[in-house]
Amino acid sequence: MQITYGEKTTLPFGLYDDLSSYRHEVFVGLLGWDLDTPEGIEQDQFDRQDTVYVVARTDEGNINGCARLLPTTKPYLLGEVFPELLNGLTPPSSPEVWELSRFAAVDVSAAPTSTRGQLSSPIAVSLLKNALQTAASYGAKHIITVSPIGIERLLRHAGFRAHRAGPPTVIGGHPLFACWIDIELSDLSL
Amino acid sequence: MQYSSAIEPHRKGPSDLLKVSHDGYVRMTRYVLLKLPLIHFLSGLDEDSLHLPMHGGMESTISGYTEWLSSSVPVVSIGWDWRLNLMTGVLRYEREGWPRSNVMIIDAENGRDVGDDATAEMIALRLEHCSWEDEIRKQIAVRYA
Repeated sequence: MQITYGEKTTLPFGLYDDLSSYRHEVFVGLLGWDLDTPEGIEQDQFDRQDTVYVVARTDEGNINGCARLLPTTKPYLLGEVFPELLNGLTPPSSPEVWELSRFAAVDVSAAPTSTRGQLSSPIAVSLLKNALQTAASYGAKHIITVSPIGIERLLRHAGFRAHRAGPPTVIGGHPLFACWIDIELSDLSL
Repeated sequence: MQYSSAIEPHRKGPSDLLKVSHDGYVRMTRYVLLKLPLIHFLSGLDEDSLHLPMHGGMESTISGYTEWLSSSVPVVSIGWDWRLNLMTGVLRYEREGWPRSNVMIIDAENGRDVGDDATAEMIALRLEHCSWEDEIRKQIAVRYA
């Protein structure tokens, strides 16, 4: 597996377009998220010039995982769309806190497995470690994320230091919650 | 997944002093945790834990998760995994792993955090004093009957 990270303009040529297609396949096609996005690609207002992407690819070059990192000092998903998940707290705004979103570790070209299996795969753990390391390289010490509640179990099982930022809320039929993940570089050996 | 709609009327108590910290934790002493009423919010089965009977027997891996809330503001949120033990001849719901929460227990004397691991252990003790098994049995029966 190869991991690449960077901003839209610094990713290898064509990778951002492939990433947009992959996100559509996973989040719209596979997971059925009701997103207002152009046909065949998935992008939103948080895909900006300063957004950082982490992309996993197979040895054949096919994308099999992705993550998106946003600084909380600028508009981000949790702060703008889901602030009610923070239990009354003002959304964080700090150079030491980055948001992780659009996380997936699914090889859409491979035989389907259960969602839980896909998310708990070694690829998912490796991708998340890389995403945390990338965030740390931008100055992050903590990650905040909006996730389905099942993610919290997977974080625990994989040994990440995480705790919920508030109670889960059912949004669009799915229980979501906000989650803090501490970046402990010593725990991120790859 | 099954949601509960019944919310008990809020009564004044130690939990009225709770605040949410900037790191998302709701800090409280062990005493407050023990007195904190919890309300079932939702429960569900793990989608990949259901196995059809095989060779005349039943796989003993039915498992799921459950989420409980306080009626306080800020809301205290506690969730944990459970497993249905079919091996003893009596169906028993057993907690699996440590609870997950937004709680941080503090030492009553010095106000210091006791840490995530110690907090999880104290929450697990708290759960022994609530009849969560009966509630899950009811919720799962309604949802998956």
